[in-house]
Amino acid sequence: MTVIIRPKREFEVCVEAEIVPTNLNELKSLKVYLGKQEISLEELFEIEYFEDGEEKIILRGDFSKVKWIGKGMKKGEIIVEGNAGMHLGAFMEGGKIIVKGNCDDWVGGMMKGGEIIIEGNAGNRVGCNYWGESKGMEGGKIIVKGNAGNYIGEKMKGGEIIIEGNAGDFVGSEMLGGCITVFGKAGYVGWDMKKGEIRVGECEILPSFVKDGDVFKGDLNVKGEGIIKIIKKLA
Amino acid sequence: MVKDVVCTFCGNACDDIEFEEEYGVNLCPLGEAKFSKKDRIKAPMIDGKEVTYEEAIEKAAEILKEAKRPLLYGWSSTVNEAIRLGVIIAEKIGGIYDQCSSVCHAPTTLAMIEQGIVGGTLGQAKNRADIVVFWGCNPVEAHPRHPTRYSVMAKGFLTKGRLDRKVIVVDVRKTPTAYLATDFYVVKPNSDFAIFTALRSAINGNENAIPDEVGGLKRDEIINLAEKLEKAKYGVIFFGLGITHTRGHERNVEAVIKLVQDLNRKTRYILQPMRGHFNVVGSGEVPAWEVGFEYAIDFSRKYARFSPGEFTAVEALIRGDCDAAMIVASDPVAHFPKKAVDRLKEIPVIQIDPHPNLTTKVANVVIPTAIVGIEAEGTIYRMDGIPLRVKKIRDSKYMSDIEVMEKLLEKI
Amino acid sequence: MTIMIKNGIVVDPTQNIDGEKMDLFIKNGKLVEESEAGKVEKVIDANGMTVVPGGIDIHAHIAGPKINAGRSMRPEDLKYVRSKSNKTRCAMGKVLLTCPAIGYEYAKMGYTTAIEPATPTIYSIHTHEELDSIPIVDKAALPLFGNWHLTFKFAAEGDVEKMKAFVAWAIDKAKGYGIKIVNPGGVEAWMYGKNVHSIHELIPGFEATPAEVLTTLMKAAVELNLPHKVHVHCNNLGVPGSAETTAETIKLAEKIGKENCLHITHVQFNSYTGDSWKNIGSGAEELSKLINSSPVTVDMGQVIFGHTTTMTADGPFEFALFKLAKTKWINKDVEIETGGGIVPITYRAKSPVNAVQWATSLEFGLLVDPDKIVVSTDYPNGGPFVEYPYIISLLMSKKLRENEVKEKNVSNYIERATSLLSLDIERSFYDIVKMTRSTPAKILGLKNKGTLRIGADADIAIYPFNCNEVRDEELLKSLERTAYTIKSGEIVVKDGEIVSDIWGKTFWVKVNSEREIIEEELNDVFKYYTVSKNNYGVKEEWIRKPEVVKV
Repeated sequence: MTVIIRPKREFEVCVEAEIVPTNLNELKSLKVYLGKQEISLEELFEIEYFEDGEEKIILRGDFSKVKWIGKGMKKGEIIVEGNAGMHLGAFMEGGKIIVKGNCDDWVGGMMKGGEIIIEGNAGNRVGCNYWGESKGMEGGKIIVKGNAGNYIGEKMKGGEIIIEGNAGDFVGSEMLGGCITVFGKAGYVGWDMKKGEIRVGECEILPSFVKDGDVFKGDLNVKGEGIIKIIKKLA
Repeated sequence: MVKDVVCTFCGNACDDIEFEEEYGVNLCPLGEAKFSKKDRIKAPMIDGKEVTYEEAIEKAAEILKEAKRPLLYGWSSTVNEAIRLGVIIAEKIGGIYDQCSSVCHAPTTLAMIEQGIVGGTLGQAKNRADIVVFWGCNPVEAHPRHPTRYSVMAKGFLTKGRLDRKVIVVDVRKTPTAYLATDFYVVKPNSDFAIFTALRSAINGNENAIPDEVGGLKRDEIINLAEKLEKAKYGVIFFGLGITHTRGHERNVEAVIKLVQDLNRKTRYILQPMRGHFNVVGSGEVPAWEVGFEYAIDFSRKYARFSPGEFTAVEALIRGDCDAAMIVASDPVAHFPKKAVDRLKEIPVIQIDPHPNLTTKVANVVIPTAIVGIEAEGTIYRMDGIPLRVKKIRDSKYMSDIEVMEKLLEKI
Repeated sequence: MTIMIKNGIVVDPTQNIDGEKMDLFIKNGKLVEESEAGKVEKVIDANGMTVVPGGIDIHAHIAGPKINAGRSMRPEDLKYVRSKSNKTRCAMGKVLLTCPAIGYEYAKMGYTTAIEPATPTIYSIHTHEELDSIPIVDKAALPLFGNWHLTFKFAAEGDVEKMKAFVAWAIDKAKGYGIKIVNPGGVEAWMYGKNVHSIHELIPGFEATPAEVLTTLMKAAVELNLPHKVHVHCNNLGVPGSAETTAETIKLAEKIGKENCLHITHVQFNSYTGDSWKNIGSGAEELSKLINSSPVTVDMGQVIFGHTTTMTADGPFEFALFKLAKTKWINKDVEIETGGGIVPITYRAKSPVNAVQWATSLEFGLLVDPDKIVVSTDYPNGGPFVEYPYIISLLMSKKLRENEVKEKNVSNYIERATSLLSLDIERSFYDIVKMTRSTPAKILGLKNKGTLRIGADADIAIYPFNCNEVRDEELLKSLERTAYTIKSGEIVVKDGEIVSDIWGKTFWVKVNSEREIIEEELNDVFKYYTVSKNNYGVKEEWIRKPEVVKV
C-alpha cells in the first residue's frame, strides 16, 4: 500500500506527527499535536492510498513545519517530496526515508538503523545524541546530498554519515565509533573523539591531533584512537 | 537609612548598598542608573488604551488560553516567586517557558549538561585564589564592582589582596579589564576553542600536537601559559560572552570546563560564568526544580519537554512555532534577530514590565509592574547561585510581578 | 474533616500493637479518641488492609542547590514522565525527581515526612524555596557544619559554650532542624586538592582534628538538647578500609554516652574492609555489633542496581568518583563553610564492588537492631527513594533475596566478601514499621510522628494487604502504592493516585543560647564572606508553612 498524505491547510504552529509506515486505520487515527491541541492525523491531513504491494508513505506539500516524521521507524519507506521539519528519522531502526527538499535540525538523532537520504540541505545536529545522552547515532546510514549545519554525528557510536557538500563547525565531537564523510569543507572535526573515522575534504585540525602518515590521529587529550583523513573533494 | 540593600542590576548582586532617601551609597555607575528615576509605563493598556489591571489581566489570560502554543519569555529580571508562578502558568496553558539565558549564557547550561562544571562561590576568588583569569569577559565595564568585591583586589583570608594574586586576562582587544592584568594575552577572534584545546594538550603532555601558532598565540606562549596556570594553588577562571557568543559557543564552554577538569588533576581550579542579569540564575533554577529543566521547555503534551534550538524563544518565533507571547521583564524586540521580531509583530503579545521599551510598541496587552528590588521584594540568585532577598525600599502604585502572576494564574 | 478508619489491621510499635484489628478516628489533623471525634464525615473501610503511621525518610537529598544542579545536568533523567499535568502538577524524573514528583511519589508509597540532610547555610534560602515547592509531605533541612571555619576554631579551642552559640546562630539562620557534618575537615582539605584520611589528622590551616569537630559538636548538641543531635557522613567515605574510620567515629559517641547523640548516615557507604578495590569486603557484621551496643543510630544507604546521580557535600569524594567513572562532574566550593560535588553513576549487579555495596546495606538492615536503623537509599546516591518497597521486600524475605541474586546475576564475589547469603533473618512487618516510622521519628525527636497514639499527627498509610498474611510474591506490589494516604488528616492518596494537592509543614528548631559570646568571631568571619551578615540566612516569614520546635 502506498499512502499519500497532504496538509489540509497552513498550520498556525508546528505539528508533531510521528508518521511511520503502518496500516491505514492506525495512520488515520494517529494522534498528532498542533501545539497543545491533540488531534488525529486525518483531521489535519488529507490521506489517500492505493494498494500496490508497497509499504510506502508519500508526504506531499509543505512538511517543513511537521516534526518527528519517521520517529522510531522500523520498516517501509517514507518519501518527503518537499522540505521536512525537525527530528526527521530520530530513533529510527530500519526502513528508508528520502527527503527531496531540505530538512530542519536533528535528522536521524540517536538513529540505530535504516537509511535516510536528504537530497537538499540538512540543518544542525545530524545523527547527534539528544541532550545529556551518552551516545549519538549507533547504526544505519544518513546521506545528505547538499550541505549540513553544525554539530554532525556527535558522540556517534556506529553507522555512517555522508555529507556530499559542506558541513558546519564540529563534526564528530566525542565520537565513539562509526564513520563520517564530508566531501566538502568542515570546521573543527573530531574533538575529543575516542574512536571512529572522519573523512573530510577540508577542515581545521585541532591542536590535539598528530599527523601519522597520511592521517591525523587523536584526540590525544582523551587518549583517543580516532582517525581523520583528508580526502579529495567531489567534482 | 536602609542598609544591606541588594542591587538589582547585574549578576554581581552587590548586597552592601545603603539608601538615604533617594541616594544610594556603594552603587557603581550601572547600579546608579538602575536606581535612578526612569520612564514608567503609566497604566495597564490593551491595544494602546488605558484599562484597569483587572481588564488587562483578563485579556492576557484569554490570549494565553486561546493560543495553540504561547511563548512565555523573559524572567531574568524578576524574582523567583514570580518565576515559579510563571512556570506553573506555562504548564497549565501548555505553552513554552524560556528565559533570557537562551540568548545569553545558554551555552554554559548546554556545556554543563555534557560535562558538569567545576565551580565555586565568588568567596573562593576572594579568599583562596592566587590566580584569577578573565577570559572573554570585561568586568570593569560589565560587572564594575567584581574586581574590588570578589576577584582582583578583594581581601581574603588566604589571599590578602591584589599583591597575592596573579591576574591573567585573555581577550581579543585590550579591554579596561586588561589594564588590571599581570599578564594580558591578545588572541584572534573566534579562536578560543582551539586555544583551550592547545592548553589541554600542553597540560596533558601532548605538546607535540601543538602547532607553531594557535589563535594568535605562539606555541611557546601556550606552553608557558599552561605552566603558569598549573602553578596556582587555587585558580579561578571567569568567562563571559566573549566565549559563549563567538565561534564554538557551548563547545567553547565545554572546552574550558575540560581544561579546568584537567587542571584539577594537578591543582585546584574552579570556573565561573559572568552572568548578566541579577536573577538570570534564578530564572533557570526555578523551572529546574519545578519541572526539571532550565529553559527551552514546552508543555504542549501536559508534561515538560526540553529542547534548546526548538523551544527557545528565537527559534520558536522564527519557525512560527508559537502563536502568542508573554514577555516578562525583557525587551526581545530590541535584542532578537529581525525574523523573530517579525513573528512577534504578527502574533498577540503581552508585556509585563515596569518600563516602556521597544517591545511595548508591539504589545497588545501591557501590564506595568513595580520595580523589583526597589518597589517589590523577593528572592534572586547571584551569578554563583548564592540566594539573596531583594528589598522593597519605596512604595509604589504598581502591582508587583508576583501579584500579577497570581491573578493571571487564578484566571487560567 | 472527621475521618474514621474502620476495621483496619493496625501496626504501631510505639504502642506495641502488632496487627490488631481496630478503628482509628481523625479530627483537625490529629488522631483522637472515638469519644472526641463527634460526627464522622468520612468512613474509610480498611477491612483486610494494613494501617500504619506515615513513613519518615530521615535522609534524602530532596531540595537545594545540589539536587537542582543535578537536575540541570541530567535532562536525560528528567525527561521521564511520572504523571501529566491535570488536576495536579506534572511530575518528572526517573531518579532525580522534580519537587512536585517528590511530594507525590512519597505520598503514593505512604511516606509523609522527609528530611533534606545537607544544606549549606548560605544556600538555605534556596533550600527552603525548594522545600516549599514539594507538595504534601512535612519536611526539614539540616545545615552543614562539618567544614565551617568557625566550627574548626571552636573545636580547636574545645570551647563547647561558643560552639553551642554558633550552632544556635547557624540553625536559626538556616531555619534548620539539626547539625549535619560531612567529611569533617575533608572538604576544607579539598580546597588544597587534598582530603583527610583519619579522624585524628589535623585539618589543613587549623589546629583541630575531625575527631575534635565531632566531639565538640556532639557535646553542643547534647547540651542544647536538640531534638536531633549530630547527623554525620563519616570521613573516608566510599573507600576500602572505611569501616575502621566508622568504628573510630562510633567510639567518639560512646565517650559522649548519650543515647542517639550521633546518627551515622548511609552507613553502607562507610563500612568497607580491605585495602583496595580488589579485596573490598563488607564490615557490616562487626559494625552492626558495635552499633547495637553503642548510643549511635544509622540509616542504610541501600544501593539499587541501575543508574543514579551521586551528590554530596563531600567534594574530594566526588572528585575521586569522577576520576573512576570518567563522566560528568559538578563541583562547588562554598565560601568558607562547605563544598559539594555531583557525579552520575551506574551500579551494576555484575560488578564485584557494586554487589558488595548492595549486599552490605542489606546486611545492616538485617543485623542492626530495628530501633537503631532506618531504611534509606541516601537518595539519590544509592538510588531513588521510590525503591523503598523493594528494599523492604528483600529485608522481609530470604527467598526474595535469593531470587534477586539469581535474576540480576549479582556477582558471586559477595559470597566471599559479605555474609548476606548466609543470613536467614527475615524482618517482620512490625520491624519494618519501626525502621520506616517509629525509629526515624525517635531519632529525629519528632514526637507526633511515626506513631498512631492519640494526639499524634494524623499522617497515616493504609496498604492494600493484610500484614498478618504476608506472601512474598505480593509484598512489593502491596507496599508500592497505598490504598489511602492521609496527611494531616486529609486524604491525599486514594488507590495509589493523588487526590488532593496540599502543602506540608517545614519544621525548624529554635534554640535558646547566648549568641553575644560569638559576636566578635562572627563579625570577623564575615569579613571573608561575599554577602553581608544581615543578608545571610532565611527569615521565618519567607517560608510557606513553618513549624517551630522550641528547645
